[in-house]
Amino acid sequence: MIPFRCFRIWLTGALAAVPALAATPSEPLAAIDDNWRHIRSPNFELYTHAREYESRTLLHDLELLRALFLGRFKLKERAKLDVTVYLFRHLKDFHAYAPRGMEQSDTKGFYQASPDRAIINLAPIEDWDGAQRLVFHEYVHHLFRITEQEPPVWFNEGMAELFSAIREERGQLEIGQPHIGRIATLQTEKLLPLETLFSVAHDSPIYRGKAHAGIFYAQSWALLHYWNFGESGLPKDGIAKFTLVVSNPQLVPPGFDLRVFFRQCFGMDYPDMVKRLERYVSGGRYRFGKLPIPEVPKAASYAARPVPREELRLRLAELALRTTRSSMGAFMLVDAAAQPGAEPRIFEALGAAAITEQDPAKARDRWEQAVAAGTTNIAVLRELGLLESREWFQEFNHDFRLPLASVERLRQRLTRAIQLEPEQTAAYEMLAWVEAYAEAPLVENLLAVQRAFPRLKAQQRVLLAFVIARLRLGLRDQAVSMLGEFDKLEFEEWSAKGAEVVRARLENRAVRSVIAPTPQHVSRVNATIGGRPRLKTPSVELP
Amino acid sequence: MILSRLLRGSVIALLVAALPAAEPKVANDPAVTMSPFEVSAESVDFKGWIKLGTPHFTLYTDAKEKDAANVLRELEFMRWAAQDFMRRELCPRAPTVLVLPTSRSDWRKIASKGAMVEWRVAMSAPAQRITNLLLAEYDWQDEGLDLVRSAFGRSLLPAMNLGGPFTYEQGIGLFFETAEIEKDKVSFGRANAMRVAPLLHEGWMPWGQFFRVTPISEEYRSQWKIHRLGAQAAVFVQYMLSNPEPAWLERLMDWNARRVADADPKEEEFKAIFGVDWKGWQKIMEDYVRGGRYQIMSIRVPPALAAMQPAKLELPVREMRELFVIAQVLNQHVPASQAALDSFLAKGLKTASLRELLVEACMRRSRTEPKARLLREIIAGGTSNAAVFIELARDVTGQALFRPTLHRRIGSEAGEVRELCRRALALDPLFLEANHLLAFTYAYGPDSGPDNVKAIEEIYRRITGSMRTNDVVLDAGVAHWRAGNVAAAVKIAQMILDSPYADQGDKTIAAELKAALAAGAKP
Repeated sequence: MIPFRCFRIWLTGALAAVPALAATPSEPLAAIDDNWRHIRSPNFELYTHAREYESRTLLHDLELLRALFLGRFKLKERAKLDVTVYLFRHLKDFHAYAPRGMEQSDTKGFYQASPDRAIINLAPIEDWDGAQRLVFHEYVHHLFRITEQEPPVWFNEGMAELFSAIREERGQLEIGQPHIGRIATLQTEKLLPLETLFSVAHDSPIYRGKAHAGIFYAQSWALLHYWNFGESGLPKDGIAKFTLVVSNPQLVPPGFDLRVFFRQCFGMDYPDMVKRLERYVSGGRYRFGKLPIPEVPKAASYAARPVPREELRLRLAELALRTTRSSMGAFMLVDAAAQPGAEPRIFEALGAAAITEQDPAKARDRWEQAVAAGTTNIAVLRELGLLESREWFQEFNHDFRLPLASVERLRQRLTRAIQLEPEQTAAYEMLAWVEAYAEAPLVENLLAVQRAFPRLKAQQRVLLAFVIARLRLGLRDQAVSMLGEFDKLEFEEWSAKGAEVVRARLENRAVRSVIAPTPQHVSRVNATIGGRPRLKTPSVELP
Repeated sequence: MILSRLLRGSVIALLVAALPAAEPKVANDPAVTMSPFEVSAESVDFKGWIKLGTPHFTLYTDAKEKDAANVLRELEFMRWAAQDFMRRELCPRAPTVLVLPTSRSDWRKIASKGAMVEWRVAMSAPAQRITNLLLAEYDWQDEGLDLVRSAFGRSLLPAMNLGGPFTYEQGIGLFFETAEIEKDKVSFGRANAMRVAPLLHEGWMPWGQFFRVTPISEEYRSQWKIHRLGAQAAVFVQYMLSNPEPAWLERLMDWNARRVADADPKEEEFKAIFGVDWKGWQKIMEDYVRGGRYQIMSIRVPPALAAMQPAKLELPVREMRELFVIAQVLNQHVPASQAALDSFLAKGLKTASLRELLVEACMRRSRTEPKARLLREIIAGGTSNAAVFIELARDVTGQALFRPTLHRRIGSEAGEVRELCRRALALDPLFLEANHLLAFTYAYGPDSGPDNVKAIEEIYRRITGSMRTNDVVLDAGVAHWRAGNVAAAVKIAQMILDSPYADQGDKTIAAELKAALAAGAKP
């Protein structure tokens, strides 16, 4: 990475020689001209109106962030989502493709995810620090999402803040440079009790309201910063253990008490940690970490080409539709879609827009067109499989059979999605149900799902599919034996009711009502009720 | 028909009045005997009464079906929402029986007859151990359902294992009065100006005095002081429950747990928990009330609940009559109640669904043997009410449960008690009394050893965080002592003595245990 403040001085002089830009009167959207370039790195594509050097540097920084995050947490991408970056030369052009109201704020970049693609939109790089922090922060959320991690909100935000401040310096990556704005907040506002911080959910007033949101973000960052970079004297293995548990709530057994675990890890209770944190943030001394730079291809190796106007029109129309729901953007794409040989990306974007309009049927049609046009967008294949599957599998019906044509289509789609993205989970779960409802289940597909079973999320649901498939195959004893394992998995009402129907059929009796298991079967780490943690009764503890 | 019954009733009354002190009736006299309450019940037909059922309520009323259905819908919504703002799931319980006579109903007419009535209440909840009965005897259609909501809200606390000191429970009930119900949403926390007014006019109670109030305190029994108490309880609890910072409710739980253990509220303890002394707290409360800003919590109910329609159930007049009589037995501490109960026990109930209420009546009137018999009948007939098993288990355990001494023991009945506890826990693993009683049998039963210790530890792990554990921890200490684990027993005894959450009974036993261990006494 380069210090952009120095770079800007050099750049300003060079820009002076470039003719002034303006959207030509004949173009329906802003910023369409012949000065755009397309640059592709291993995991991003960039449409840039800015200089090539800074464009390549931007992509390289994003690749570094990605590699660092995935390597540090040893995570695998499970739900790939292509990322397209747009880098504008003029602020007014950036605003033309930004959600309404953004021109009033000082925001110079934003991230937006659709089911088929994620967009990063950036203004001219004058304040790179600010823009980088924002974009990197959001991109970290993207990484949690595509690796199918669901850590608590504080951890997600704290990590995003921490990773947003990485920079390359003298052959190493620096992480954890203090964020002045956050420090100011921490020094002027009262810290939240840790039981409050740890329990904030996406629908909590603290997260959604303005009153406490600043301190929430700042403290989330500060706590992780203190644990990782502060000279705290806290046990390193305690920090590692606690971090592992909070970042992987699915590992936690039932009956787990986070506060007790906290005390075991750190040797102190919540209030004591808050006091320490108060001293840390007011101390004025903040270290940062240095890490080896992950191996990523050099910026110079990325393929670059000019962008023809026709392609640019479509890309900016797509951007306008995604970010501002622009009717001109929609019109241009619909018009292009009607032409023979229309590229698949047009249909992908129109499908995403249909999802925004809550029209899954239209989305399916458009994405089918994308497939017919030869799309290689894994997310589209995955989403199409999921959309169709959800329609078929919304209600549990013991006697249902999928039409043969649907079976063949879904098998093909889902197995292709699995081939392209073997670490994902959703396609396996749906494939299990396709086989369960097929007239003749395919054993090889069932075996593929079984191999992936330990890391699937909806295990009870998949197990039920296995039971039904076995009954279809005439393997009654195996089906009964699997039903016996049902209650060992995390309860899910839909599956539990389905299992009861199957049991009733097997035992030739009436279906009984299903009652959710009582609280001790619920993991208490992230057990929340109404978005807040389950209330604990203080009492005497057994040593 | 009604006239002939009235005549018959009055003839019987006349005959009774005319008789001198006479010989007791001959045992095989075939005459029908009825207690005064039964006579009253027989005198009316309970016309217009309906019975509606939802998953958690059974409502008896003579209001219009549409109004009745709305009442049930509201209560189901509030029940759902309570789990949200109390942040605790509701354990399975028998449906609440709700009786809402209208102001012109025959229930009200016969219930208010003369000398049989000891005292009147607007709203009563006379049955709460194995079932929950809420009986409104005020004009709820004109005056609103606040009292019903309040009584209902308080009745939810045991099902969430969130019982606490008296003033807190009062405050919870009053918080439920702030509920506003819309199509699929319940909102809590609006300003309850009528409730709060006494504070502005009469001033606040000192907080040390407030926290000491119990049901028999002057502040609760005095007609004018009770309003001030209610207002202060309402504001105190509303501040905690509707505060956007979850930590306030946790602080309240801590304070409650200490108050349950030790009724004497200490200012320094209050300050350690809430961060201010009583003077500082008074300012916070006054600012809260004067400021007029109340945080409204809105909770959306699931679509299935929003669309729920109560089921209209069959209601034979026999059932209404039996219900009326049992309600009087539960509420009226008069000779007529004993007579009515004797009559029912002799004849048996015709309405099987009211058996649990009859058990409650036996408990209320201290009829131990009939109660046990009825409980066994209910169990034999099949029940999913965990409380039934535990009520019988308590009877079987006997007085040993209540003696705060290290040397209490239960004998071979421990086996039956454990089995009853296990059956209760299979239905409701977080049933407080089932867990406590089961641990008790392992500590004080005829057997001892490492398996008993392990069993108690398993109970502890199941309940920790969900309810008080001091009894179970102390049981573990006793079990360790009986198993020969002196060090563990000493540690636990000291923990109990030092803990602010252990009550005086626990500390008495802990002190005995510590002394026994120090003296090397064998169990």
